[in-house]
Amino acid sequence: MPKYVIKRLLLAVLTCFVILTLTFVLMKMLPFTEPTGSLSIKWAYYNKQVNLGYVIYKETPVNNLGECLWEAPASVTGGNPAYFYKAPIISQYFNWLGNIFTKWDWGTSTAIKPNFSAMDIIASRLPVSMSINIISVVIAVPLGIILGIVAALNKNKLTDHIISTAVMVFISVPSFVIISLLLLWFCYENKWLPSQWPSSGLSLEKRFLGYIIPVVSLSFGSVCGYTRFTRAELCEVMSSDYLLLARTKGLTKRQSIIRHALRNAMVPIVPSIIAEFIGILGGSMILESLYTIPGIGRLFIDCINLKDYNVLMTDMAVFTMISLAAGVLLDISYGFIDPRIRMGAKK
Amino acid sequence: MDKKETYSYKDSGNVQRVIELSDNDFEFVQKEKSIHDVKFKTKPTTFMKDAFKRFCKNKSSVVAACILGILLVFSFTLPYIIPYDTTVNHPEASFLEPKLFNAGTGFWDGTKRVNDAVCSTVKVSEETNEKSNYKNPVGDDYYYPSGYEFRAVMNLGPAKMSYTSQANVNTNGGYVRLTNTASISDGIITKYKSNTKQVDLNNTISASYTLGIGEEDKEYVNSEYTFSVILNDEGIETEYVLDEGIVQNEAISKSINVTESLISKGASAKTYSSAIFAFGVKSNETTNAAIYISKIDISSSSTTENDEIGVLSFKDGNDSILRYISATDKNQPDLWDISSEDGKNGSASLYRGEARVCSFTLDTYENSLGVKENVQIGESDLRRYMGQKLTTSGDWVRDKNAEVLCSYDFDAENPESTFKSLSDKCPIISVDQQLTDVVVGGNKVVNLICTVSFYKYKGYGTKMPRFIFGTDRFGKDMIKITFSGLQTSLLLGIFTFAICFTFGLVLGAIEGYYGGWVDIILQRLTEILSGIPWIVLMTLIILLMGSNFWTFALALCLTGWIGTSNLTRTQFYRFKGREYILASRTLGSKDGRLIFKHILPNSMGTIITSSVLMIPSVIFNEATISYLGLGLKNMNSLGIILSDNQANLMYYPYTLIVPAVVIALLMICFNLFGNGLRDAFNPSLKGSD
Repeated sequence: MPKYVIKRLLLAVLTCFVILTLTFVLMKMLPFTEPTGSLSIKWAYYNKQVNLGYVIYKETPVNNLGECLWEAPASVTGGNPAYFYKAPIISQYFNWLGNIFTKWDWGTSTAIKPNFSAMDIIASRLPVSMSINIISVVIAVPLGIILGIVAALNKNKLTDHIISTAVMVFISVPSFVIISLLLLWFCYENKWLPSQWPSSGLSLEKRFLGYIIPVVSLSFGSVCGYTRFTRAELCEVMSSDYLLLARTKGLTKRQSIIRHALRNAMVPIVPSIIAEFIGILGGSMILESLYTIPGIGRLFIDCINLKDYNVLMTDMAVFTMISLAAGVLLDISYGFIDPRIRMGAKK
Repeated sequence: MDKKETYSYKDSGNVQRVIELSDNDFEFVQKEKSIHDVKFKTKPTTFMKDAFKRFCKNKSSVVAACILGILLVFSFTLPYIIPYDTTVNHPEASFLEPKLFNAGTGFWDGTKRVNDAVCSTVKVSEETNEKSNYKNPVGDDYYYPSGYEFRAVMNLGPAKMSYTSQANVNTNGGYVRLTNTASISDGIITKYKSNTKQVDLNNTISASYTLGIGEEDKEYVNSEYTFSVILNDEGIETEYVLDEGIVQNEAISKSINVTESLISKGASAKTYSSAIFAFGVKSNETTNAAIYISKIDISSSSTTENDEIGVLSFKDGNDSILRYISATDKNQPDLWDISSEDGKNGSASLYRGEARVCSFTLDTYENSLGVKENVQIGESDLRRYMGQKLTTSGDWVRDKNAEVLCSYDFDAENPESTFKSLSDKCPIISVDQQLTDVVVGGNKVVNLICTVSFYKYKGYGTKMPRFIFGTDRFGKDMIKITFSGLQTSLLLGIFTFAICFTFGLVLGAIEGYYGGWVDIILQRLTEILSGIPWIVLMTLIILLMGSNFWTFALALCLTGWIGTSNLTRTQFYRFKGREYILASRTLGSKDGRLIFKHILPNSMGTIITSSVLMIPSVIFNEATISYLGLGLKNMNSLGIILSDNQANLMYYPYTLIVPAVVIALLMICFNLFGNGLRDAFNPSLKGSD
């Protein structure tokens, strides 16, 4: 087991490394973006880029480095004009790796918050995304499992049909449609809830109301997923031989379900709950940009629109790491929860 | 003769008997017949037929398949059947409500309730009621709303004084609310900028302004403001912030000696070719920021300069906003405006103007396309309706091919009264005034002020158009653009499916059949590719290669094949060790034969059913990424339509509901259909959703 865990972790790190390398190279092939704002901000930005090794500084124009990115006028440099050139991608890449490993410096924002560290910006956005996600997971998981159990116990009866149809519909309909309809009904038609994320300066009641739409719309998907999963698992367990044995040896239906069926059905469900908790770090892009929530999902869209590629790169890295970590945790927790499953075992 | 042979035997009674047999006693029963296999009387059932039978038993899947079929047929026919043009914008038909029944029915009739619209000064009278199809109460409290055709107003309520956010000539007071919705601290300042002016800093320029406060519990909080002057010195722009602070609790008034402050901040006492006055609101990381500008007065000690820059002064919010809205030329010298790069993060609007308001039901069709007065029509247009054409010599002659719609005498003493409508198709109802101008060069230009039937004038035919699902901002028929969007989405889905399926099948087959190091390498490749979140990958491709149908398809294909490939690989692993494969191999089959004749046909059912679900997922992904603003350019897809109309959700929800319902229906049907297919091909999985 430990051997498998180590192997799995190393593989995930390797995959992450390859993905980030690819992303970095592709991002650097995009046109260079300058920070917005005054000349002094630009000057500070370029100097920082030179220190980090992404841009080359020259006092006279040269030809072998491609197009000049910026000719700083003498008024800013306080002396001779300065010429800045893009460093070769490969050297930028090694400088970037070096900066991450030695200084944990993931780059500098150009538009979102010029000259601020990208990691700081992401860290400042995380709490909002996390708070919404935690609440929705806490609500969605029990609700989903309970609905799944109800559906499975009433298999092929009216209750089951209603639950299964609702799950089918809500899984199929894109989230932005659901969010739009929620907004339309609760915010615009009836004005019960705020139509966008309430600011932190507002009263507690307003802010509480502001959580309802994001939490509900995020929960819809998870509730449906868990209901479907639980129902399928429980139905399978209910038709197994050992449950028949449990009933024949004299257990009541309730006893046999609680002691035998549920426990076994939970085996594949619990790991997915654990993996879901990793997912709370990530924000939903659609929801956050529709409801103007200042989280990391909206940051992603803002970065694309404002062409802030350094923050975008870091945000992508965060999303990639979250999804990889969730995958690893899912695989590993299978082994812990059900010792019969030997992940990665040979035949 | 043949020799006879004698045989003896004992019968059941144990009596000895003797018979004689010769060759002639025998003959071949089937001597002349040719014997072969007989065709089955009953038809044998194949796997596919069996699957089809099982599929048909699944009612919900059949219904889903039918709806899918209908949607498919619609998407390829409706865009060509519906006559309304969607290739160009039709501003006159913008935002018409869905209309199926006649106006006034109360449901699906192309009307909408308008609440608290600013009133005009025109009262309802017997005369206006006479002209209009809809009768409204006459009285001192009943004024027609401003900006709407009076003929389109019904169920008018009494007017009352109220706060409004609509800038109008009949509105008074109010603030300019300048907002900033960027969720970034200190980074972005939304600016409300004046037009550029030449300033001479040798004169004393002063500015006095008042900033108010807004209600805190609404969407915006009172935030930090800046007042600045942007001076342009021979191409170099420098911004001097003259004042900043935060308005809390009560309104503040300030008077600033602009010249003095500018010079103390480093500007020189000379003439600057362009100066811009600007109010700014700083963004706030967690809230939507706003400031409220009540008025500004800008003056100069030099009389000529005072005349120049004094026009920028505005006395209240309504004044400034109205000036911008009604300006025909956005470079008019007295305008204030929010700059385009700021427009993404903020807006400037009227807050708390005071006006007389009323509520009413508006017939949107009558309002936009109904009878309109005071429409100016040129001579040549009217001549065309009279069936005349201009010859090269400059004379109007009768055109034999043209239909005569009306008659009119331009040279009569009282020409307006000579107008006669001769056909149903004539858009002009009456000519109210003939204007004759003499322009430079002696040419006479005749213009006519007419009352026209606007839909006929705009070429919608002799009947008022009826858009069953309304029109969007550009006056395009919702149902037509929705279904042509569906067509694009479906084409993209099917195209991507075809490529991904072929590629995935080939790669999966190679991996599964040959195994070994090929398998290991390809597996690592798919692991890495599928490890990248799809949205990241798509964003990168679109940023690198632009956004059109083909890059979009490429981006979707890049990871789309992984599912099919993994499935094919598993299926090949499953079947390649079977006995019948071994048997075929011993008989000398080559790899190609084994793959295409034995393994593939066996695994096809499972692969196809799972892969079909790729089509809805492609449509789903495309809609999502379009919705995030990275979508196809210059093309309609469901996602684009949805994202375009997202901004209309508050006031024109129907523009969002039609495409939303279509995409939801499409997704539900595809999923049901896919489940049905899977159950049909693989009965053992039945019931496990």
